[in-house]
Amino acid sequence: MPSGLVHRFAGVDGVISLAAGLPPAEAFPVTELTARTVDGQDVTLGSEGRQAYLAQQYNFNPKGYDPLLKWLRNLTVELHGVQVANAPAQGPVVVKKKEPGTAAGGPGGDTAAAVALTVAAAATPPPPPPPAEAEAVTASGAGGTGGATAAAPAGPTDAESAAVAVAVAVAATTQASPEAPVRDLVLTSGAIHAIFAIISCLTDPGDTIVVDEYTYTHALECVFLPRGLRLLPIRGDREGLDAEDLDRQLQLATAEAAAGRGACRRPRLLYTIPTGHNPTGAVMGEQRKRRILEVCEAHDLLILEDDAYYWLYYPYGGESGDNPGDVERGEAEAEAEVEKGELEGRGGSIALARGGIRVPGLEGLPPSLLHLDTCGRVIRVDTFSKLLGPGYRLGWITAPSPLAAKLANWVQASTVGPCSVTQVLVAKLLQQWGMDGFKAYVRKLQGLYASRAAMAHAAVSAHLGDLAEWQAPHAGMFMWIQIPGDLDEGALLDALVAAKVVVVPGSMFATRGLQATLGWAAAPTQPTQPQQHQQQQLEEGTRQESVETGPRGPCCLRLSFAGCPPEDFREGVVRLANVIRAALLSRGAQERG
Amino acid sequence: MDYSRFLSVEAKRFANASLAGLVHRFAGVDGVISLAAGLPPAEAFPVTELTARTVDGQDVTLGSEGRQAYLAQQYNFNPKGYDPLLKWLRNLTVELHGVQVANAPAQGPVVVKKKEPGTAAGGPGGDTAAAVALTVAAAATPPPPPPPAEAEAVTASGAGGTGGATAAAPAGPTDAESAAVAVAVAVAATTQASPEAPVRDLVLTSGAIHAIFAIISCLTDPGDTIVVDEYTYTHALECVFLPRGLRLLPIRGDREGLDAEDLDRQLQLATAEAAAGRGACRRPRLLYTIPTGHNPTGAVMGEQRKRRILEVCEAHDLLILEDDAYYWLYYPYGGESGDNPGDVERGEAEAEAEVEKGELEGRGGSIALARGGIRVPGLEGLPPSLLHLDTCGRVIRVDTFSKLLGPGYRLGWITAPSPLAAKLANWVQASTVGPCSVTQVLVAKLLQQWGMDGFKAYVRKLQGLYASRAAMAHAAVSAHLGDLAEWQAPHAGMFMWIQIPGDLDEGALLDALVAAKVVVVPGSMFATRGLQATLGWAAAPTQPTQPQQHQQQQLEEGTRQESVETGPRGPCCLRLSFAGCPPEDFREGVVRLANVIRAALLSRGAQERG
Repeated sequence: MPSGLVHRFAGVDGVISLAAGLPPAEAFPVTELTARTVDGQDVTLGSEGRQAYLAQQYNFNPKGYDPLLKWLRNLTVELHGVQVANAPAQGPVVVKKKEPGTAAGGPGGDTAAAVALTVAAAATPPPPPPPAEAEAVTASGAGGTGGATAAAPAGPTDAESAAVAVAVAVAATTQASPEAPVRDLVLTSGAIHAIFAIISCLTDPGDTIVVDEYTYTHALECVFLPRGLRLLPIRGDREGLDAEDLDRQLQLATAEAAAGRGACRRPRLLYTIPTGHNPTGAVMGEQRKRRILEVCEAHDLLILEDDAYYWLYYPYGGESGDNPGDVERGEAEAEAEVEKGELEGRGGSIALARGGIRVPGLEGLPPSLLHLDTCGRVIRVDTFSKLLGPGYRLGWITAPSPLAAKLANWVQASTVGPCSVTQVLVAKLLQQWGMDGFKAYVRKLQGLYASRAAMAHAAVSAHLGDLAEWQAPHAGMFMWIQIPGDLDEGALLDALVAAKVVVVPGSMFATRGLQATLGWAAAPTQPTQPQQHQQQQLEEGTRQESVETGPRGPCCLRLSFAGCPPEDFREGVVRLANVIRAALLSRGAQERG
Repeated sequence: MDYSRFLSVEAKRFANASLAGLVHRFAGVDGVISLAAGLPPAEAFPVTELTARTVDGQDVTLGSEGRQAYLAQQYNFNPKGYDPLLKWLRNLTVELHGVQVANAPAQGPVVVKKKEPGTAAGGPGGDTAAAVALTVAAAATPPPPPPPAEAEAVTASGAGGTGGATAAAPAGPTDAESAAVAVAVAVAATTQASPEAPVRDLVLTSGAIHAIFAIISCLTDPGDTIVVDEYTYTHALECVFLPRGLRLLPIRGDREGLDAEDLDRQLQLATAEAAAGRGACRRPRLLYTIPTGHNPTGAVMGEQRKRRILEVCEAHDLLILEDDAYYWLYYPYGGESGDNPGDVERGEAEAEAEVEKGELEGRGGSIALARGGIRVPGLEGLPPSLLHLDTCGRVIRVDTFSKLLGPGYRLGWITAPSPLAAKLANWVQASTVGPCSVTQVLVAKLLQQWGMDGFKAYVRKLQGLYASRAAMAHAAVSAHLGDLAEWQAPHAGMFMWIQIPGDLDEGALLDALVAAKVVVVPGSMFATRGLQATLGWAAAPTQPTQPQQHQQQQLEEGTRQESVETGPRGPCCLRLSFAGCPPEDFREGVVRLANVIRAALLSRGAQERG
């Protein structure tokens, strides 16, 4: 339905629309949809507020289903302390005051861990929220079903006018505070859809994107390279992206662009994963984030902050779990504590489980790049995939309002918008939980991942202690194992196949020496040899390592401890240890022989 | 056919994800432990059971059985879609379109639907034509009974119940990955089976638009020319074709939609221009059209027209994007019996009663006939698709659940020659990982629970509903616009296309419609003549164009623009949707519309005289 046409009828009563190509409610097969939650609640979409209808109908607000959008806007105000279009006006921005060490989550290694624990204990609790903000949260979270009904458009005509109303309100709010960057949200079909949208809107083929030296494979293989982007890899350390290397590489790239060498245009976009980095697991500290923002400001870059693992932050998880027995007790206690429902208020200090596992909750999440960004350079990607489940296919973008409008156009063009069924269902679930229920759920989730991480850390310590190097995980799903000794990754992989354990080799995440086979200016050349594992027939462009790059450094492996039962993980690590030991022995024998 | 000449640069850059390749190395090995996948554990999911209550009072439940609640909340790693749903749709495709589908049970001789051309066309509008259509329809040959292999395929998918679903559902992350690999291997095996006939495969998408976006991304480069109807689907035009930087080659239409002879003529001209180095750099390679219940014109393409279009596309080496979103909403006899609104309402009630009675004729039976006002074709009487008629592998078909179950499920699917399907699956996986798992698993369960008979009954009921709305709309338009406009009686889809003679100014008409509080969509919003993307592929970003009155966003650089060199647009056209609006509102809307048109014509006449 052309939005402009509807706009002309905005605010007019008694309009009859013969415009929209919407199926009538009578054409839908489902009258009621009920989700039973783990805690035994029933979340039902029925005739109330026409929610079953809305779940099966088009949603015409290009930014998402209004009640869900509203909930997320309020959450964004609370979590990131930024001004959000269409969210209740905010008082002074709540800056989360934290010691730098806390935000970093205590980067790995046993000594660092001990330090992190000490620092954490001394962390200043965040100030109590100003009234305006508290009200915003109440309106969204604790409002229950009444609020949902009021916010839900009542039918096609209303849905269209609601979209118009949103647009008008956005315009009004945007004017309110001309200095601070105003953000808005756009719901997407998951984080990948968000990244695809951002790359489509902010890069042209042949452009250069700045990336970590190891990064998320899907973004790399399925988005950046097919787009025809050049990659500018930046060194990483235990806190992720190295800000000084970023500065150095950008200076070089700018000089090259000015001299007409290298890439034609200077880089304009950085992609990074600050919390529980995929694949390295690194957690970026607040000082590091501030420095990266400075560098990007100096070089006029936008930042794509992919924070898919933001919620899965457990800075104290790994340390307390060196003894696997402790860990399992920790998980049980964490769950018991959550079920007890004794949650501290928003202004309280970081929650502490009585047993093994401490979790930061919503209040203890690290300050995001978005939060620290005063210039409007950060485009943040969040997802429900690791929060509720990937199958809901829901994520969201938080971007400066003018960019959000453009991104919403792209999202609407590509899919009309994310699944209405899950948008309406998740909105209802969140409203029914209320903010307290949501906080409890996040804490439980952090407890679960913290216990898995502790288990993984313990297993790796027990079996790979003398063979590899790693950091204790503090966020996300992954451990990054570095094996010294110049092993051949291909041979190691063959041995892993024989030993029946699947881990992902580091080269799959490596960005150094990668180039899209078909550049933007390059004519389609000789089809490359299809790689051994590729099935389809139309292969022309694939990942290729260019020959001029040097050695890759130590052999790295990514271990996921999220989806695999603890006993399987331990057995997998035992097999891995055997394979590595054999490879190192054989390598030693070769060198001697 | 070698499809590489049709692929975009972007599509050529796509490869299978290397992670999938890694998993492939472990395929068929027992006792593998995977520390590879970044999947949340089942304990991290909030929902243990999801139940949908259907209009007929059935409960469709995703629970622990077959781990369906888990699968609904987890990633689905088969880039073509959730296996049980994919299997169901593959079997449906074999039955409905009679084509060979990868991974669907091997088929005997292809069931060619024998129909009189007139029947397939659904009797294009006008009262005389309608009467003819009725006669032809009565004489239509019933399709032959299905061969055993096909019947078995349908039973296996539709009537198998939950047992089959459980068996097919992957049991966990590792299994899901191996299942994806197994599918790929099986596809390769099946593809080899019959090297001559084009083998198709399916790819599930987040609705038809996602499918169209994927196809355009994989098969066009900026600056390419796409062949389109002179009026076409606005979203595809404004949100996909123009932002892609495509040039448009509009083809004249008539009551059967795209004019095959004009297509031939325009393609000859374009080819000659490309050869002479004038006009578009590359000759057109893709046709986009909507054969059933065309948006906006409502036209239904007859079988002969489809055959001729296929011939022309073969001669000019074009692929065809068959957007058949309204395929299910086909009611060739709906409009005719409903000239009296009283009849229509009785017809709707009776159609529903008949469906609820559950007395459905078998697949081999003749077209179903409601005892009262409304006859519906059912699944068996759907027109032969371009896909069905395509023997060369030139058709890429887009279907959607949006008009079948509901747009909110955000599920559609592509049927394409297998090599293209693999590429399109890559693109879909790259853009969203895949469509929503919750709705894929739910819809698969719903369809399995319904069984093929239940599905057929649902389609008939849906056709009855739309047929009655169409009849009501046709009656209202006849009563109030009879002396003011021209139109065809609708035989499919959601729309009536009203042409107003008398050279009215569309902008002034629209202003009057705003004042009269009735929203209809002006024809210019669908027009492809004279449209050009403002930013061409080779054009440097020029002066930002003036944002049009109705556009809200701030970063406008490229928008629709009419180039000055084009001539007048022809008669003023309006699209009326009768789908989503209650019948009494529709009638009132048409009354208001009639008043506006009458006033405009009077004022126009006064101007001419004055």
